[in-house]
Amino acid sequence: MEVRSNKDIHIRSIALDEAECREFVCLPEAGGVVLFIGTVRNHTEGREVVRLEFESRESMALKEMHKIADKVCGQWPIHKVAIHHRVGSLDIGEVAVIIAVSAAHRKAAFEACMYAINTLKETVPIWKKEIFSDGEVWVAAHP
Amino acid sequence: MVTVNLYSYGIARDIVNERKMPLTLEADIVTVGDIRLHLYDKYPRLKSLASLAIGVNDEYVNDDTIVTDQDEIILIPPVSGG
Repeated sequence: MEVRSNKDIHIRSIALDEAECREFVCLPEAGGVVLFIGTVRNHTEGREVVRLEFESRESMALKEMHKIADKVCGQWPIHKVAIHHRVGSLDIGEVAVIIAVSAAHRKAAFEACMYAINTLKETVPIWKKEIFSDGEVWVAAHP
Repeated sequence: MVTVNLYSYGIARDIVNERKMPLTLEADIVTVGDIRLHLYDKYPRLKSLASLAIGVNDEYVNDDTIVTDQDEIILIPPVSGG
């Protein structure tokens, strides 16, 4: 018998697919689906950003993303969760991360999605370099 | 003597200038803290980072953790995914 996971975790070097994430989490019993899409912003602290470059320690990042998904499923009454993160060079407006969460009701879905993106930003070994027209900087590297 | 493989990412990779390199410490028992001090000595710019977590075999660990031959040591400067 096929055992279907309630988690869908990926790191990809090609464009992320919002429809894929939504379709993974959608279920007849899920009345609330929250989809967070993190995109590449064209400015940071008043400086114009040209593009972003993401790199990851992929094996560890996937492990940490699975931990987040497990925590989410344990802490809220969630049906399914998808976490996809992009790596490589991204242009302005491209999608860097997608988190999709489904639950019977909206409150759990919103809270779980917020927890997932906040925790991802704190624990998952992925690094982003902002490329400006006149230089580049690893985000948050220095105090 | 303990030899580990050091993997560096983000700004730590720029400072160390190698993605992967072997690292040998001349002691019978080597902790993550020993590796940290060794690297701070060799690459002082690592000390200027907002934080530097260290992973062993893809798990976050603290500085008391004892490493063994051929462990994968991961230098984790402040993460910034999302």
